[in-house]
Amino acid sequence: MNRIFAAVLFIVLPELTSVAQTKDCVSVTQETQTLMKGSKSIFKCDIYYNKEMDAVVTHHYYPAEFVKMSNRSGELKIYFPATNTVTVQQNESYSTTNELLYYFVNNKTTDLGLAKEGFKLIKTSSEEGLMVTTWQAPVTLKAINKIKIVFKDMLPVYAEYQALNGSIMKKIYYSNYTDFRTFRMPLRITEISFETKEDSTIRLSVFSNVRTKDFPENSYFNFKIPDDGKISK
Amino acid sequence: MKKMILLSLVLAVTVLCSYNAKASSYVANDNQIDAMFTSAPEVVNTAFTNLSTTAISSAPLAAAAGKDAIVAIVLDLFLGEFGVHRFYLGTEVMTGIGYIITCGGIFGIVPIIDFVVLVIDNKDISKYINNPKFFMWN
Repeated sequence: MNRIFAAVLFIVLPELTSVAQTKDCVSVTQETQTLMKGSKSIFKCDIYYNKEMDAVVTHHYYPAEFVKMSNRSGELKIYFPATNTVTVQQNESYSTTNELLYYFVNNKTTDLGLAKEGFKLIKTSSEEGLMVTTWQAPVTLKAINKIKIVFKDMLPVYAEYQALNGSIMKKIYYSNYTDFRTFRMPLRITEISFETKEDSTIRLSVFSNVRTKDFPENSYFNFKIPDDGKISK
Repeated sequence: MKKMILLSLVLAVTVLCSYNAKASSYVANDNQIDAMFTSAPEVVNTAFTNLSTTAISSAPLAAAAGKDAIVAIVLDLFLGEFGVHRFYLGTEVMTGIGYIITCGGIFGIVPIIDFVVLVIDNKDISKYINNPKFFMWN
């Protein structure tokens, strides 16, 4: 009986785990509002992330339409349908592994990419059930001293950038976490940047229509630039 | 005894208040932020609407260079940390690299200022085109 149970488990378990891990295509709608000097701007786009290929296609459609394509190696293409032109750039920093969606979909939220940027973890502490990590900036980053990231249930809920003089340059709040079976992501990110003591800019990003599929169900996952598209300098 | 109870009560209230003060500092006041966005007028899109008819004609260099303020602003918003908007507008290679090695132009501050000046000057962005300076507004 035990052998039968073990055999069934042997067959079923990999299937169950593979089902849990093969949600390779993730699409998200992002609406970002920026508030500065008492006025707001609104921007909307749909993001299509192919996990298997580490490729991201972003369709910006408000207020301007263009399609941004990037891959793991840092090849970045931006296509403008109105003029049928495309710009191409190549840089490691443009890699999809630097995309916010990449970190959450792949559950790489422990440092949000800071270690890769040369930051060193100098302190870990606990505050009222929250885990607080402090990261020292590399010496090449002359303007910034430390970054503090606060975690709740192993997910980042707050990040704070400190300048060399101890003043806070930027605060980021990650909230409305939602479970999508293979990953959890915040559906609301609020960033407050302090340019001066008197003035600040607030950027609010709200994510919706999060869809996870095994295969690309939308043509934007495989977006192709038209053959007659012209390269713009 | 009464003093002890009162002292304990004060201590408990103080601890509770400090707990809430500290914990709440890691949570944004969503209602307040939403209210600020709701009450603020949407100006950029008005500028964008007008851009195609009047602004481009008043910005001959931008038009001649085929650069669009809308695209530059959106690129700055989403890819400003990597200086993509500067590459789009045209700049020296080292300027773009400067954005990258400073993790987004002094950690995201420069792209925000770029964003502000691009929105304000969206009718004529010619001075930002092929601008080799790291601080393009300077």
